[in-house]
Amino acid sequence: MAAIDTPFPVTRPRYTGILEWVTTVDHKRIGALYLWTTFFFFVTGGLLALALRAQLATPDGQILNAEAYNAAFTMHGTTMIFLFVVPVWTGFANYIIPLQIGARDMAFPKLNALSYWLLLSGGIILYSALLVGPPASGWTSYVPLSTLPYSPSHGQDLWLLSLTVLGFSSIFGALNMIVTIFALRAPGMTFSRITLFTWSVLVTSFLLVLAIPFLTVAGVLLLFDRLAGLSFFATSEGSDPLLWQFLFWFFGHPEVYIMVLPGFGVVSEILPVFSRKPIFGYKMIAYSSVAIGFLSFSVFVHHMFVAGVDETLQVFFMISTMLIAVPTGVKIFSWLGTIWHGSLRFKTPMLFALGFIATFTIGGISGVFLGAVPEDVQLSDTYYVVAHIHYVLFGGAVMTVFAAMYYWIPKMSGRMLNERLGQINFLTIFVAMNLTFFPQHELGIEGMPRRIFHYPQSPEWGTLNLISTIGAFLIAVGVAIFLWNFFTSVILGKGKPAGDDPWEADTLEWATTSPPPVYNFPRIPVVHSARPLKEDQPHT
Amino acid sequence: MPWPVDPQGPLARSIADLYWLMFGAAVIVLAIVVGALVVAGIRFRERPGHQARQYHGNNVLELIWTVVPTLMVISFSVLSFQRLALVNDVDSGAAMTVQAEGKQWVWNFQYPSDPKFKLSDGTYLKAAEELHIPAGQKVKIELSSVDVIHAFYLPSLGGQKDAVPGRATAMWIQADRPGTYNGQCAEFCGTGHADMLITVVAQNPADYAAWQAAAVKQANLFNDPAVAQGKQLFTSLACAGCHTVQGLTGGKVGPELTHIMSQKTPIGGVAGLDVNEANLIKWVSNAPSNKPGTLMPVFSNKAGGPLDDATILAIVKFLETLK
Repeated sequence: MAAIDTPFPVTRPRYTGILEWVTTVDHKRIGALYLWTTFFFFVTGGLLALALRAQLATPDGQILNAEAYNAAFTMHGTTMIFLFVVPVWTGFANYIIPLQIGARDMAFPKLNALSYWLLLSGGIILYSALLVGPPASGWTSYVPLSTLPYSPSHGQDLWLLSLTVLGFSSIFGALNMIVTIFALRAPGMTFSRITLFTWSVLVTSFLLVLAIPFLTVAGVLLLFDRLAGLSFFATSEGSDPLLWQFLFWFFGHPEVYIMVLPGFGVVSEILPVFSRKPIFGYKMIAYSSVAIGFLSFSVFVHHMFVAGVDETLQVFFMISTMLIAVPTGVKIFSWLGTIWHGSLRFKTPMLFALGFIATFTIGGISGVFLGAVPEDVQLSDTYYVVAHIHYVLFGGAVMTVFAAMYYWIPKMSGRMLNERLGQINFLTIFVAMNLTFFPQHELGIEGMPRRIFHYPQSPEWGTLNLISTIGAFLIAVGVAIFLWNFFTSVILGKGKPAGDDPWEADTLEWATTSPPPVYNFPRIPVVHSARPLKEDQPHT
Repeated sequence: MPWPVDPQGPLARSIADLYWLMFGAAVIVLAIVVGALVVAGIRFRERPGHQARQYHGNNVLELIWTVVPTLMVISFSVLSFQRLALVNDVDSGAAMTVQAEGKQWVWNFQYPSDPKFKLSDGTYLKAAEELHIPAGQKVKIELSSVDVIHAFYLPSLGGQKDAVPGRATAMWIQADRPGTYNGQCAEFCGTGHADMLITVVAQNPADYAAWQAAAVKQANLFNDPAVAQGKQLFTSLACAGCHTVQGLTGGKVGPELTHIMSQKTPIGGVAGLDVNEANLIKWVSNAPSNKPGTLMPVFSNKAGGPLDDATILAIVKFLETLK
């Protein structure tokens, strides 16, 4: 790896202490703010989930009443999707992408700061709804349930306002990311050499820019209905309730890939490093990300198979939905090809990445069942769907978030997380998530609908629900182990010093110090291959 | 316990058959993936003398794992498509059509305009929550909603369909054998969603005819002028706010009165207050004097309530029809 000398401004922060963080435009600081904030919301949303599971542990639980339960699952879903999984990837991308492409910052540092502060504002707006009566029409907020006559609380208005603000946060962040990846790559860092994490973030960013406006438009129209007495969604005035669903799911399905594609990228980073092998099928993985990106816009009606769409739409969207399993399968098999014939080191990031392959495969397979119209007629809106989305979002996204945490926190903090605690952390989370979500498939098959706060008429669902609840509390133990590990290793500084490249990885973020200096690279590196740190070593 | 849900009709069975077919394929795929993870974890773990082999891909393998899954999903699509007609053909061969109207948080059923369901006032039989169908016959359900979106869901008889305000949707169900089949609203519809239950009773022809005659007779009782007045009073006065009479009212504060005359326990659980006309009049007139502390207020104007004796008698006459 060579380097070119470019003078860069060595600045001194204008402020110190907390003001330094408030005014920062450094992509690493902003990335860290994103990660702190989103992890806080992850814990919050998780506590809500514990309340939900505690209520469902017995057929006629008395912990939450119907109103509280409905509010809790609405806030749980909204928090996890909009305040955790989507922005946590923005946080990682913010920190890591400029390092991986050999840039000194994002293309628009101030816009970057604005994205973060909009995220925090959106979160505060959402939770301020607790003061006026929380929203309770689910994270999908279907009309007419979410219109004024059926949801009179201002909490629903704040929910809509929050999603609008969060939408702008995501759009600005994504535009910034697209420009950064196109314009700020180091010399020689061509599109066939950028990391697969960068590829997946690039596709994700395009999805965000194209999909979020549909949610924003739907949300603002509904806000007009509720606050200004207009009637875009008033069924009494002849509006079709499916209008909301079309707008929402045109956003909502690409949103699923927005949440998992960056995780795919993380796994594509980790597996080669801990197998001491190059990634298997770089191009196929990159192309399949792009294919998933395109296909993700053409599957959304599968959320509405039982809503009365006609058969032509059912057939088209059934086939497109099933087809998306193909590029997803290509990725899974390419990851298996990566570890095959490797020399595998089972460090914590690797454990989470391997565990992810198993759990995400289950989530992908159950998606094919739901894509088949006759099966969807049976399983839609049951716990089968709850199991499916959690295998995708927990088994797919959260597992890879943990992988990314263990992989990159040494780079961000300069300290290694404790390996033994990490292994216990992985084992707990892996067992617990399967314990929580696997029985829910069977509950769905037995006919338990989602979003019910009790089921006294069907006590036979009690056993599996109790198992699921026990699993949920075990997940909480797993998260607590992570927090303890982070606290002792990083905050108390007991972790081993990381050094520049603790994992013997070969991408550019490992070429600089841990944590990296302001402006990342004293000299902009010149790149000659996809594995810039291994260029001096012979490889085939 | 049926495992998994016991399909009890042709549509549910067709759905279950396809499920198990796909399930077989799914198990194979999962076994390959998890098997590869386990084998790789053992064979290729880092150890002295073991070196990773350096390569970037394999065109043949990549082609195989693109083409084989494509063929698999195409065959699933074809199998699903074949069953789509069965799912969506709600009309052909249907023995009867029932309208199901979703309303926060109850399902109201309108039986077909068939002479056998005709009531003395010229309308046709209605009911709430419980639907009677002939066993072994296809029944079309026409769905509508008066407020938000609901979903009519009967897991053992044929899946679900949304009831969307302003849209006409339909599904069909069929039960092979007589029996009671449970379901509930599947689309989240607000506070009472969890309790928006559905009971379908399938009966063989003789039992169905007997039920039909009894149900029509019962409904006609309400149309008797003496009773009709009481029914009108019951539904329009405070009674409706607290008491459920299936098909009429949905109050949840007081006890359900759908079958009050068949009740074995005394009124309000007060010893000696057996269910009969005289005691019903005593109770409705002044419940607190019979049971201090009851939530039911005083109604007789002799004791300071709003209703005169004639009105109370009319209401009791109506209650006496609830067997």
